[in-house]
Amino acid sequence: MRCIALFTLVMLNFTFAYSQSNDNRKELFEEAYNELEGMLKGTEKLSFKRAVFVTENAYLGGRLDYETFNFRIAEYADLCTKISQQHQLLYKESDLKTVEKYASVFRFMTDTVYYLVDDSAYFKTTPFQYDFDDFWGDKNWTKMFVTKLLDTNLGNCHSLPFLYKILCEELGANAYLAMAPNHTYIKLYSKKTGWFNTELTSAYFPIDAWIMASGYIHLSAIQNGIYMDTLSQKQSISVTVIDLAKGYERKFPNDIDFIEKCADLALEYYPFYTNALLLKAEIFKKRFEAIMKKENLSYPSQALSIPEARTLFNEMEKRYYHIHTIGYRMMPKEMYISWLGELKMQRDRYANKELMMNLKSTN
Amino acid sequence: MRSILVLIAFLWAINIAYGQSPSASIPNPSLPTFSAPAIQNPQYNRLLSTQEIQKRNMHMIEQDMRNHELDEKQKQDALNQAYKELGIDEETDSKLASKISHSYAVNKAFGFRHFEKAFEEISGMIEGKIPYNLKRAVFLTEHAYDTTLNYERFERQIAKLVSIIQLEMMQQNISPNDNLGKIMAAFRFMADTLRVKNPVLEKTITTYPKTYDFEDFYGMQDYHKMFVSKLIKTGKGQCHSLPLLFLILCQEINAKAYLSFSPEHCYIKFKDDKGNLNNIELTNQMFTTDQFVLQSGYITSAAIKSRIYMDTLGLDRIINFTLNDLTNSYVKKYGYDDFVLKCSKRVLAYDSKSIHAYMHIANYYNVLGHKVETQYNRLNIPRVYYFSEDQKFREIIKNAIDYGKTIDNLGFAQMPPEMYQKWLGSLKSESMKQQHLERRKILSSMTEF
Repeated sequence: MRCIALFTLVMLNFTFAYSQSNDNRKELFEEAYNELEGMLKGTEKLSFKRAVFVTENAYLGGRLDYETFNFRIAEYADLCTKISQQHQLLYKESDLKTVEKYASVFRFMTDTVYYLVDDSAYFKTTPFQYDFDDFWGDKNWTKMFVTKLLDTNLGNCHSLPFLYKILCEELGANAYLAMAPNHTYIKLYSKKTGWFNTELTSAYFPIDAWIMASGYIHLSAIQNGIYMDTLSQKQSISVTVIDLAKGYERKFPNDIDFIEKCADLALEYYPFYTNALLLKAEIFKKRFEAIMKKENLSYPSQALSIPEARTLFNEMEKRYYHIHTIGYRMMPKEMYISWLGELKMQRDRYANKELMMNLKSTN
Repeated sequence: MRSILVLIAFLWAINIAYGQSPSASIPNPSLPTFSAPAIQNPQYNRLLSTQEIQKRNMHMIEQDMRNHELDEKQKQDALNQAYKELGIDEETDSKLASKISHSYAVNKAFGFRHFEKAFEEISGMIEGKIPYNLKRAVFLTEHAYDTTLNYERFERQIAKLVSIIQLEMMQQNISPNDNLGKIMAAFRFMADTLRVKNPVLEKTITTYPKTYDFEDFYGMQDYHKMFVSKLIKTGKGQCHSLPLLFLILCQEINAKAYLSFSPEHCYIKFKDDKGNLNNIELTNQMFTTDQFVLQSGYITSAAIKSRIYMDTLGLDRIINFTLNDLTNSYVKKYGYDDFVLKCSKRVLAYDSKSIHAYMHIANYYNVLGHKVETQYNRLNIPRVYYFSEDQKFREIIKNAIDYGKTIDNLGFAQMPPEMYQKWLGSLKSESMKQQHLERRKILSSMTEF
């Protein structure tokens, strides 16, 4: 008898500890959400760096330290400045200072750079590289994180452009994210060449034709500004809001309300963000499935007689149809990798030659 | 009893272990450690203090202001010097203004009335006073340039071509309500060798494909190369006349097709029975994909978003576009003057996405600015004077720059002729041909059922 009593005590203890930690985690997500919402609504200072940090910290259960993260970014930014002092550009327009910043961050992230401190001492930076393992974070969501990139020097099309943007902003220059199917890249402006694309996964400056050649960009997607358009600061924050929701979904797959809240917030500031639209449609699907489970039904058609389920189903269909009409097409993984590889194989065809001419440096 | 104790101890251990790290299942990215750049000298990170930075910034600002003042002074000195040398004071200033003309008078040469007439009639169509008639609009633009052309003859030629397409439609049992069938019939007329029997005359008529004329395809030497009348006469055309003829035929047989632009090029778009848009490339008589157009490499996403390229133009906008052709002919014949401005503004009033009209206006202001400059040069007046004093001149320069900027923002890109040829030539590759054949097969099967 005593043993049973003890056993239950132990079990209670165990569940209590677990649920408490779960609540803590949810709280962290809530805090992150509130901070991002504050940035979007204007009550808090807009900072992409902070937004990225908060989303990642929420997923990792508060194990990150903002001071350390900040220090690290400042450190790297400082390195970039030093690099730009040593590698001068042959560029002679009035926006030279900005272009120098862009170039130095690019060089720092993609190349091995030796920096001479004095005659006898130098230091060396190693480039960040593309992580071909689980590059969409299907198995491990932390693969998408900037903090993971900083730790391992391996990143993907999500973390690399994010870090580029953070570093540029740290140096006081604007860098813009741009979307392509299942891909993110950087768009920058220089007076001489106008807008140009920077691709960090393969360290290259491709022309627009390369992105269009993926074959998964429908013409109307560009016309509607879903893809290949520069994101404003608020839209970039909306992207991190969806990242937050996706992280939450991994931890608590059954708690739909928080995800819906995130999707709504992101769509308010970035109505054509496909990932947010897809997430929103998924929410209706999940609700519909929940009804099916509750009523113990095995086919969706059986649930359609329930009025509540019917409206959910219609709503879901409407949303998927909307996503299709504005030009979204799902890109399979194999196609994505072969498309990224194409840039390396056909360098000549997709190179932004005008830019390469203008951004040459002296050494 | 001992076994119970062991069990308790065991469970307790699990509890502690679990309670302490509830996230044991979570992948564990450790705290960021300082690793990435291998640093050999720890001294490298000496940051400037805020005071130092402020001091440096202040110094830079002062330097800039000093330079600016120096520049201004030099400029004013040069100006005063120039005025002194020329003896310009306020009085001569006004005299000078009357000597310089800041606009173009419209060239009232004998042929001008044809342009004026064409402009009036096409504007009438756009405003809705006269029904849309693409055949007439295209003819007017060509007639203004070459007055020997005759409308009755042109009409007769078109009617003959239309009758051939209608016979083809009859023989293939295509219903007059079948839009896709009619477009396919018109496409066959443009691309294939057709043999149709005329039941009244009881003889077979044969038509041959309308091919691409590689010689002088921009009409630089002979502007007639751009004309639909030339295409009808010789059976050879280029990327301007071929789509226009196709669209004229489509209007005559009541089929709905659209025009679309890409850099230095235009092509046909139409909807199939499923409502999807398809492209016809008449220079090579092929069905192409959007990918092919994009692969020219000169289309930016900004251009697509602002809809200057790859948009679908309906009949009204096509007729509006013929005004740009009229402007082109005019420039070819008389050069730039106010008629160009009037025409292009008229185009933009209806269709603000017309890149061609923006370009005409930007060119107009550039040429005008150049003209004023030449007048001053002839009077030996230095640049400093008219760039700072002549308000009208400054206005012209500002306009030229503004329109240039607008064109840049819309995403325009210049495609060099050799790249254009190479791009069109890529259609000859096997994969493109395969794509075309597959698409044609699908579209033909749609019309059969």
